[in-house]
Amino acid sequence: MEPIIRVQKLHKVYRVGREQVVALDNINLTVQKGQMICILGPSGSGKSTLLNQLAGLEKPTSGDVYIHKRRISAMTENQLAAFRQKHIGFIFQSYNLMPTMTALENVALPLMFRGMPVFKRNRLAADMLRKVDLADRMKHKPTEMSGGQQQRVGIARAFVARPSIVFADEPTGNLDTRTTYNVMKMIIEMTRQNNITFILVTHDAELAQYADRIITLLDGRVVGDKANLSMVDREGAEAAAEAADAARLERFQSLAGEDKPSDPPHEGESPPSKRPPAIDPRLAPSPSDEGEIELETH
Amino acid sequence: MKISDILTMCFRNLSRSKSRTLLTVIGVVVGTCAIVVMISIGIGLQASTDAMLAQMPDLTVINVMNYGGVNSKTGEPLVLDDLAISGILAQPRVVAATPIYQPYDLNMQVVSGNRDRYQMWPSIMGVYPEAMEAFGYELIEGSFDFTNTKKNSVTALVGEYTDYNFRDTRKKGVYSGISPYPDEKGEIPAPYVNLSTETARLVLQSYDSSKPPLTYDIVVKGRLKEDWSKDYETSRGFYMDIAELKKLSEAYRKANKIKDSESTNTGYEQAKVKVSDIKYVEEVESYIQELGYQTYSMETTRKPLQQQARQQQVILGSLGAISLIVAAIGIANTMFMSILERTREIGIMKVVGCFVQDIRVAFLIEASAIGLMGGAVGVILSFGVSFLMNTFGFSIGGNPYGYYGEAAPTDVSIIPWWLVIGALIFSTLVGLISGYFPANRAVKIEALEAIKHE
Repeated sequence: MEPIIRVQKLHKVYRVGREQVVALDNINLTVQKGQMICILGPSGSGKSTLLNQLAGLEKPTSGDVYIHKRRISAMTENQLAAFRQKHIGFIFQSYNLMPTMTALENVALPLMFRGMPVFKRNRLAADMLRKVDLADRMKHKPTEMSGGQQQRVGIARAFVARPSIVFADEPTGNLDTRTTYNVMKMIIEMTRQNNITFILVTHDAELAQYADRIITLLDGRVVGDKANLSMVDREGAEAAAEAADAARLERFQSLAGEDKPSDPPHEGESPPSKRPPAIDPRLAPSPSDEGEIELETH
Repeated sequence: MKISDILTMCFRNLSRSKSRTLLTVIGVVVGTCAIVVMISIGIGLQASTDAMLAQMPDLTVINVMNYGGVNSKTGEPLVLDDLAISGILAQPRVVAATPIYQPYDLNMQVVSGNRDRYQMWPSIMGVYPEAMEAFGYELIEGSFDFTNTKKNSVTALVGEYTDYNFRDTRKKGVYSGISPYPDEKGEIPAPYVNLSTETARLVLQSYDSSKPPLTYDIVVKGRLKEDWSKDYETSRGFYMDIAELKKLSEAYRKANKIKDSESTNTGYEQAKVKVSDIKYVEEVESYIQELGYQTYSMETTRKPLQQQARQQQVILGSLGAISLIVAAIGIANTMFMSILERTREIGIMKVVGCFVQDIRVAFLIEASAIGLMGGAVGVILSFGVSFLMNTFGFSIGGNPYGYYGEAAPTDVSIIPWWLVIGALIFSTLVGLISGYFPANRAVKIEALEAIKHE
């Protein structure tokens, strides 16, 4: 099966003054349609850079990113804009809503850029806002809403154009625990319902538990890539998550402490749709050639 | 993005910082108003110059003269005969041409009344009858038809006041004529002879008084309106078909046994050429000069006048342009400020999938809208300023060419429709150009940097 995202030998080097900072160092990975992926890493690990590369917001120094078999790393700015309109949704930590627009207009924004007539896009946007429980906030401006409400507007905007991939960069970074839970639940519902590939970037190992597959990044390299087994029952498993988190943190620390990770590469394939709530046997780690990661040293 | 969405976005952004938009628009208003008023004054000057020129002799007429010129190519004497004139008439832009023949060598008299009591020495001009209408001669009565059916007679058109040239030979004193001016009672006195109703004869006196004079009855076909921009004859002379006048001349020579002189072989001494429009006068005139003839037209007078008017317009226009440049800088500044403020939003738009050209177009429309609004208000304000200037007779320069006669007073400031359209287009363009660099800046904003921007 052709992966929805394929990254090949991706390098990104920033020039800071005379110094060269390697942000991404030979990243190779594939993502299947419908997967929920978490890119986990501490700040400065290159996870945001990787997200930007995947979304075509930045050009790589070398290597390629393919989405839907199209090489987005070679697209022009206009091609990328059209591509983003069609395939990609974004959720940001700081919501990034247009301050002068109402919730409805913000949600309709991607549809406006596509050239959709106003009555049609407003209807779709209103539907989305109802789905995120903001039916009574449609005419409100971002400044008149709480952080959680703003992020729900952000979610509605990310999903309104029926993208195939949604990227989220620390989507709950500015939210409290309770709101975080609601927001993540909402995102997961939406991605599952529509079989959308979801890529979450965070430094929060706890948040990573919402994903099917966790890719750990450190110093611009993939140091871990494995299926997440703790998705047994997300809705009620706070304790389980904590326990898993502790275990994960331990492993994360052990990984961070070593130059050469000892973990073997893991396969993180997930089924495209209609996932049962119980553990899917296919989620079990198994050595496979699909979606493998190369842990090269340079 | 739909253009309607782009427009909505632009006006939302403009109304977001109302006071800043307003100040920028005021800058354009002042600039547009300055440039429109200055140009309108220039147009006013031009109009007063034109009004003056209109009082001068017909501007579209070229006088052609041939006083013994030579053909520049062959070296032979230059000929200005009917053939040469038909050649000139065949040129494009030439609507009419006629030779002018005034037989100064003929000793002529017009007599009327009992025993030729009333007499005058006529001034007769021979022209092509068919050209008269094209040259703009106006009739008070009669027609330009010179057809002669009566034997031993000549046909003629008379000037408006030709009748008043008759003098009473029996009257002694300093002045034996009647003037066509109102007397003490305010009435214009009647002349001795009314040529339209009474008979008169043309008498060609002999070279020596031994031979009898040749006499012809004068058949008056019409009366011309006096027009000092044309000839003296429209006021107090006679016009005759040039062919008929030449026959008279021949008859006179024959009777007096005068041999043809050299000059008769070179045709007419003068001709008039009427050009379709003032702008072609120079072209036709230089063509005639190339043929070897001397010419004279009002073009030589008109040109420096117009040049001066144009210079004044340029100076006035430049003064206005300076203030519009200042306004343009204001627009650019406002747009840069606005982009700085909206960096983050531009970033969001890009990330969410807005095409860069849409962002560019949005900023260009915003800047153009400022220009257009300022231009529209500026034009309205200009009409007010123009009205005040015209009402209170505020004047620049005055009329330095008074010696051509007092021109009818024209407005100091004139705003024609094209100036209104031009000012609107120009101010919009100024906005567009001022918005160009800011829009480029907006397009180049890195989406990633922008969304981190606070």
